[in-house]
Amino acid sequence: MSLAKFSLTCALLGFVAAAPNMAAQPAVEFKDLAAHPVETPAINNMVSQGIMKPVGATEFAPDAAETLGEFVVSVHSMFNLGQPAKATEFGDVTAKSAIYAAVQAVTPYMGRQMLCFGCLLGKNLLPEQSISHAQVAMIMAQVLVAQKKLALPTAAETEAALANVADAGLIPPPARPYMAAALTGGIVTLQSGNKIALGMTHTRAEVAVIFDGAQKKFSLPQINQPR
Amino acid sequence: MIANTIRMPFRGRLRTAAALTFLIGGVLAPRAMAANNLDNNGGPTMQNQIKAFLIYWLPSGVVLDTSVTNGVGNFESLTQQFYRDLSATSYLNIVTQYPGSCGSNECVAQNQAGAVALGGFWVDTQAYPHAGSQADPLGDSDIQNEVKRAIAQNHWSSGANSEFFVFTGVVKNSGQEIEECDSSGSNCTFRGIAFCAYHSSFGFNGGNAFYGFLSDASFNGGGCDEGTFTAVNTQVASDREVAMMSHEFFETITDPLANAWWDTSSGNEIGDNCNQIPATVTMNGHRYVVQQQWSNASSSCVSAFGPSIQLSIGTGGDDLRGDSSATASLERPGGASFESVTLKTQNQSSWGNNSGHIVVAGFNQPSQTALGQVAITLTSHNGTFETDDNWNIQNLTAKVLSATGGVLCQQSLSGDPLARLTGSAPTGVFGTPNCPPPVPPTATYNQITFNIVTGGDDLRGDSSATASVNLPGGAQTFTLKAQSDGGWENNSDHVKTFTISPPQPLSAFGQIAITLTSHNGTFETDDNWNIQSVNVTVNGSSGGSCVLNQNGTPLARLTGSGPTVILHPRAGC
Repeated sequence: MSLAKFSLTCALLGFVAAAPNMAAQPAVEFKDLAAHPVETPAINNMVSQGIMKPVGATEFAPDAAETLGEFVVSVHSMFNLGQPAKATEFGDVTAKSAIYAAVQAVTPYMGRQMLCFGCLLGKNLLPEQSISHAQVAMIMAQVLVAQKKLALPTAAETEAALANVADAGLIPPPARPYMAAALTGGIVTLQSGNKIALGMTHTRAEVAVIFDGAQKKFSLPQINQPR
Repeated sequence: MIANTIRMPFRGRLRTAAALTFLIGGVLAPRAMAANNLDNNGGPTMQNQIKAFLIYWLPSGVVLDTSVTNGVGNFESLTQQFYRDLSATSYLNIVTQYPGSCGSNECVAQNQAGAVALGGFWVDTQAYPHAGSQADPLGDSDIQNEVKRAIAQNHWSSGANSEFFVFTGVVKNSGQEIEECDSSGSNCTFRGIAFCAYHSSFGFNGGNAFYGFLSDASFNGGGCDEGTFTAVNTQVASDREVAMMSHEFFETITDPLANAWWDTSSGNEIGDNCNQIPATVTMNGHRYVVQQQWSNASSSCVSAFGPSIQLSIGTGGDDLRGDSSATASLERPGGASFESVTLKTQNQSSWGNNSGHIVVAGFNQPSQTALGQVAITLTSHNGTFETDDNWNIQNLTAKVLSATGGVLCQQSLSGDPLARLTGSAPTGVFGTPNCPPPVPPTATYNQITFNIVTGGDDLRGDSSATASVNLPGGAQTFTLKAQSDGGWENNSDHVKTFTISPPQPLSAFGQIAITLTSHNGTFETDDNWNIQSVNVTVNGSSGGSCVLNQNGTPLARLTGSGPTVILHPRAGC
């Protein structure tokens, strides 16, 4: 087996053991990143740590929409989240599912009811659906707050942070502090028209940049490093 | 009356475990997922009379239930009947725990006859503005517009205590649910955070219109079975819809503007803590599958609440400071505390001057328990440079309410101030003479025992004897000795027990006639019988009691010419 193939295999299995100075080195050169020179280092960093998975031997699919399932697996890995004492059962992610452990670990940080305030939530998670800006911001902010890497703003700080956000009125009351934290923490970047664009979906390249940026900004350990 | 003694404050009811995180060995340990009590975020709640308006939006080709021939079955009638049956039930009583702001005071929905009503219903066959597919779903603005249209079309009035529910259905030929997305566009019945239903509000006619979107639970791909797989009312789709609707209706009552009762750590409202946990309840003789709702009083999901105590407290000219806490001890007439109620925790907002507050808690006592007094204790938690808090209580009303909303007792007190609680006298004790111990139910007895001692003249073997007891409805006669029984020898003791039907209270037992009957054989003359003593007792579930206890030498001599002795109740007891 060639070194490249071995590394890719390890990456796909999620336990690549790259040295710290190899973090930005691509284990394999993806052929579909030519139009993404800015995002390529972040993608390579995430893939080399096994946080994100390629879609093929030489393809990352940077413009494909990130699914909730993919995102949850990445967050589980990146933050080394443990299993909750009590499982949350989803009808479409049973214990036999490959992503069951990741879903269980991340569910406490999903803020589902906060984002869908007033909703009677369905029993299904819909992991194949694209993940929205709101979901990414909520999960990242909740985990970082829990890890004390990010402070949850006060009510006044929240409203100040959201004052110039054009679609802030669509953010439900319980979600507002986390959206504000995500904004001030650089997890969320405003779109055109100063909008968070809550329902807009993220591409895989965008998610790689968010993970990479958070890892650097909040000094999160690389997952191959001793914790 | 104000006690001058200083009491230690009672410990308030604890919140359930808050969501916590810990870093253990580098691994982020999971948050506890236990549900928390709901927080009062200060907004209004709905007040009586609360009206529900049901809008079935069913264009051509769209039905409510594909499993029934006409596509409707009892779907519409059951969702309507729910509101006709909901008032004055222990299920609706759950919402009485959650008061809302009414200006500077608080008010709370009362559970009583007519507390909730069906305001109206309407089947709208107008086409949807979108296909209702995943590619072209309905939007929240479409639902709002439908509410406006229904109000205009039916001349309904909206208001602070009305909710408009919009039911969409399922495409009859395909079984495809009508899809819908919320106002943010990020959550839909089929993507994002998939929902089954939601409640919300919009500005309307200078106020707010409160509405709920209800998908067709049985056909929603997001998973909305409500934990119900067997029909209680012959049509599972209808049962599920009622359960789903109960979730949203209770949430709207307790949090109509998204600023009243919800857990700030999770965003959960009263229904969310118990999402899709069903219960079968009977209301006004009709059975329903409903969703359980969160009870702050018990920190659990319940389908009934009560009896309860409602304490309404008016602050006078000196507030209850933001960093102070207060508790109420519910006490028996002698002063023994049997329950503690947290009125205000340290982290809840201050009770401003001249403001009214309502606290409701379960009255977790046997019905025999009297509420003799309420002791309210102020606890100051002084910050730097702060001195003890002083608090003027202007009025207090204590109501003990049944699970179906009836007022079991009410005590209203007022003064100017009624009491002033201070650091040196932090407790006020308020008598509640209107809440005496209920009269214990009268004990009844279903068994009567005769203990008869024969004296110096026996009851012959071929004689018989009866005891006839006067009771309401007529005398009941018992055979003490049948002709076929063996004789009762001189100075012998005989115990006979009989059933009283129906059971009777002690006061119902009247005079008792004991009668000798001779059955003379050839050459026999009438029998004579000396009775030395008679002891009659009765027994029931609550124990025994004496009816009479008489003796003599003899007590009575029964003969052919005087075969009966009349004994009077309570004699000798």
